[in-house]
Amino acid sequence: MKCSECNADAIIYLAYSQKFLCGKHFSRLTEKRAGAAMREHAMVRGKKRIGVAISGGKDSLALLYIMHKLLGKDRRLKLIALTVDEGIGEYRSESIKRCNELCSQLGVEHHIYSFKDYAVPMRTLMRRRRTDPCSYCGVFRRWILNKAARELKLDALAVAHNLDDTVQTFLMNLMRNEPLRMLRFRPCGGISDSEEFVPRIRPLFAIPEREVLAYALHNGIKFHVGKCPYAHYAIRNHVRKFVADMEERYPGTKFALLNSYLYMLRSLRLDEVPDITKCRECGEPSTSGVCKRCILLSDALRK
Amino acid sequence: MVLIIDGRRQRIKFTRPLLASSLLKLLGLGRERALVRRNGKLITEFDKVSPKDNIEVFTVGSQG
Repeated sequence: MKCSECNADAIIYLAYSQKFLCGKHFSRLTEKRAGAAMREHAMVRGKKRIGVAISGGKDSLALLYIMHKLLGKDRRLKLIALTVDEGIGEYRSESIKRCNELCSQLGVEHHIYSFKDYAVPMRTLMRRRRTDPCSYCGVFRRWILNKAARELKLDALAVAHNLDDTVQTFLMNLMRNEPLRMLRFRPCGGISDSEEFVPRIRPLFAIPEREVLAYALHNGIKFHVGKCPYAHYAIRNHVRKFVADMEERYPGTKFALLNSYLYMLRSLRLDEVPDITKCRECGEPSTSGVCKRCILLSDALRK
Repeated sequence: MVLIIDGRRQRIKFTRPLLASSLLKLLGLGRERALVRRNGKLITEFDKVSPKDNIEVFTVGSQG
């Protein structure tokens, strides 16, 4: 098939816009979308040090690549990559290699933080507790990233949540009747504007996961292909399948869900979120006396 | 023939050229859930693949 914009061979068909695009026009569209997201939501305005959380997967490495392409030449701004090593055996060691490769290729400073220095490696955790590992992993990872971002004096931390992640989280929050949690997934910011939290930015929030994958493949980004061995526990897998099926039957469903999410977000107010205090155990910000990470950690270490 | 799905080799039976979307269907994958690379280049689901091609399939949601 030929590109709808030029005569080159198309590499992707976008059913929601009924367009065939070649590599050049597709890459340009993806970068334009990420750039527009950053501009419209003032993600980098006035910021000097921006962290990029990378795991070695296609989304985060594509994010680093795009941000470096769009912002790399700006001398007022510094990009710093951060990786959390959860201690999931070969799965993570392979993906860290991919992170190191891209960071050296782009000349981006890279810091690695390990679960074993801040909490308990996932393998140990899973041996002790046969429960949903994603809850532990997510809480610990966010805790470490926030602490590390503050220590590195970052003005914002870019995370690679794509359109699929955004709509899946939106639906999961609705299903669990936790509307305030939608604030946590804002394109720019987080659940609180407290200074203790380094604001998250999500430049890929309006780019479908399939397109992030196509961008990474087309641009020769070497990412880790593999599934987290604990991923099958997640409820997200069911929601992912549902959203993909709906998109296939009714192209544009994901964008419709995203627009509904952004519309609902405007009516949610940050002052409805409980006040932020400091955790009695670790001193990190928390909405209750003891933060979730400390509760989970003491639970995991209990014999 | 042997194709590669998410980095793993998989044997599949097909003898004549077919659309990439039909190949994905054979693999039980929907259009929205995978990308096909033929001889190192990404192709759309409306392009054809033949058993002689070097085919790689990348499923969405299984990497990173």
